Amino acid sequence: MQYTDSPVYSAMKLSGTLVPLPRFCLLLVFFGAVNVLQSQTPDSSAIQEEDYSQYESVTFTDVSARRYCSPKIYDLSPQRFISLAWDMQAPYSSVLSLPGDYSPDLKQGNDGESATATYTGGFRLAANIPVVSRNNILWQLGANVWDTRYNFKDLTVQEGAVGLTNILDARGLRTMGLNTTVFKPLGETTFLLFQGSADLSGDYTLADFQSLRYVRYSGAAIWGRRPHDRKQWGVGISRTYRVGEINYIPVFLFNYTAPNRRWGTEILFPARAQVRRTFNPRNLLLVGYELEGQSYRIARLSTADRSWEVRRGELRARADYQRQLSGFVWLSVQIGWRYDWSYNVDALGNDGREFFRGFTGNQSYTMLNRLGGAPYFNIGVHLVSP
Amino acid sequence: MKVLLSFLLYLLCFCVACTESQTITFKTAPITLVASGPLFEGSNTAQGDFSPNIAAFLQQQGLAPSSLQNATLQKVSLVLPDSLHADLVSEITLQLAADQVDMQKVAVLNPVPAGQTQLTLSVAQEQKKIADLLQQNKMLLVADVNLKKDLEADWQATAVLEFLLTIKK
Amino acid sequence: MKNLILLAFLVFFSGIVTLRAQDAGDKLIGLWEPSNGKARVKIEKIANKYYGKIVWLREPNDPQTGAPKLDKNNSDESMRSVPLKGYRMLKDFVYANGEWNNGTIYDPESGSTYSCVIKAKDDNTLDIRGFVGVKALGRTDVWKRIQVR
Repeated sequence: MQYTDSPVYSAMKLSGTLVPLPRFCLLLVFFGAVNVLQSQTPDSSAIQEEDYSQYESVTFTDVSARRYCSPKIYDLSPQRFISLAWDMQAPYSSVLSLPGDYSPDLKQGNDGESATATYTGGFRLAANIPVVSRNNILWQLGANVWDTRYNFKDLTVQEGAVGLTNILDARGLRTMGLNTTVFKPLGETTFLLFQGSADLSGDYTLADFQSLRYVRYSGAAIWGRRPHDRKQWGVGISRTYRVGEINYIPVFLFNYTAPNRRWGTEILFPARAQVRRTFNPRNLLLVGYELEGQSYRIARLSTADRSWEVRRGELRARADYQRQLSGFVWLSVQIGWRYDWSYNVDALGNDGREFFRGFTGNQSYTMLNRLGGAPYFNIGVHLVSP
Repeated sequence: MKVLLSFLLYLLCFCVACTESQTITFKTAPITLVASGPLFEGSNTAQGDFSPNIAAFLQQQGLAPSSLQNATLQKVSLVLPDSLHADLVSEITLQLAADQVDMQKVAVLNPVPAGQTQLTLSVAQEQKKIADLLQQNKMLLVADVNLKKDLEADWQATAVLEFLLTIKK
Repeated sequence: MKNLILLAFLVFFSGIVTLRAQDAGDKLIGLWEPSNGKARVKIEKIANKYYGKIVWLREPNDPQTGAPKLDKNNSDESMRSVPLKGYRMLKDFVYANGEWNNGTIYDPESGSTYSCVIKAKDDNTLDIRGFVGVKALGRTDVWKRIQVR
């Protein structure tokens, strides 16, 4: 009998001697048993095909399982995990008022400082990580750091001016924030969306950090429907600083992709509204606007009992071209016009407590400032989400 | 200065000569692909395997097995046993895989021309890990065959793959 | 004789242990539906790895052409004629330590392939996590096992 290098032979060698035939048969019985069991596992070499027409009519094996709508629709611009951008505005005129009591109805205050901003810009870093990502809930946490530096020239200062231009030139403005998003599908077509953020904005530096008393909170709650894979809409309410000061306004979400998959919209009105042109899934253009703003505490102007805050709100009309660079790394280039919505100053109580002026409040501004419009440019590199 | 320039030029020539490479074609023996019946209308999986023995092939050519720098699949020919088999198929997608190498989609034919038993598939422009696949003991061919209607029997085809090997001199 | 019986038992039980591990991995095999319900995926085993193939699409035809959907977003232009029905969107999963890893998932909507790990929450539920580089940078989709009526 010739033994080959088979498992049987190896097993017999282990026993130390060659095995007499009856014992060998005993072994065969055991191996046979193993082989019978093995033959019950799916055969990897010959796949059992099934009738595809059967897949039309199926049920969940777990009867309690439900389907939920996705937070996305077709062709939306990609969500970003990590984003690093540089933002820059072209020169514009800056006219800051003398301090005083200015009614919100007034168009301009008494001029105190005027200059030309030759540089306004800086880096913007943001990260957004999914903490819980399931069918029935999606929870993301994010953080962002924005730095804005200013350079001014041709400064003219009137008597009594507070010197905000020089403070901005010397210290710039920055925002650090944390944000969270919760997407809660209620079923196959309805969902709830919550967004919240806490931002600390001002002329602070890391060495001269601002008290967390001045953290500003904003948020939105939206109820929506996703009737199909190309449309998602919703209505809700938001607390926002997008125009510089706190406001409570209704919001309307409308994300849509046309049947030809070339056109669409990405709208969260009034924060932003954009028309999308999809060249292919790795290459798209958004045209529209975005409101951008925060309330920046100016430590150098604030006193023991008054916190001076620049209510900076900008409307950015823009074209935003986004394309895949490689794999999950994308590039975005924005070119647009920055229109000054507000650069006014409020002097709040030093406990950091906000007040609500809204569209109808008559609380006066401490400074009523005017910035000229300016072209702006933003270039960013992003790691995008699956 | 002239001497330095000449030296640099020689160095450059030397480097180019060192990295010079040649290409040769490696054609497999016919590989039988089988999808075991009964088969149903829609996508079915036909499989076959073969041992590339690329080291032996290179040695036959007087080349060291380690000289294989890169490989790309150049051509995939498929022969179907009869026109019945050909008429049944609407599309074919071919993939290569091995135990240690991920599955690579390498060729497609959509649509399959009616009645033709000798088919040439379109080969992928972007190819990865083909050299790695060739260096495995066993390579697996997986063809996703979209059938127009049910077939009680097995579906069979014979594939011949042609690779272009880049050899380090 | 005692030694032989002992050895035989050892061989027998080691076979069963191997088989059990294989069995545990094979519970991935079957028919699954992603959370969006847009497709149904049949997971099968080829050699020692697991692969998932799209077997049903809610919208099988391209609304623009009326023809069956193709992989038109593939970055490789030469592979854009591959039909989506029958497409292997899950590839090369290996079962180890209670999960299926080393695999990839393909998103036909974007033409992107992601690293992927699969965990079975129970016999009828899979957590399919596609990620970019590290697992933390990813998104999990829950797939449910379905059966033909």
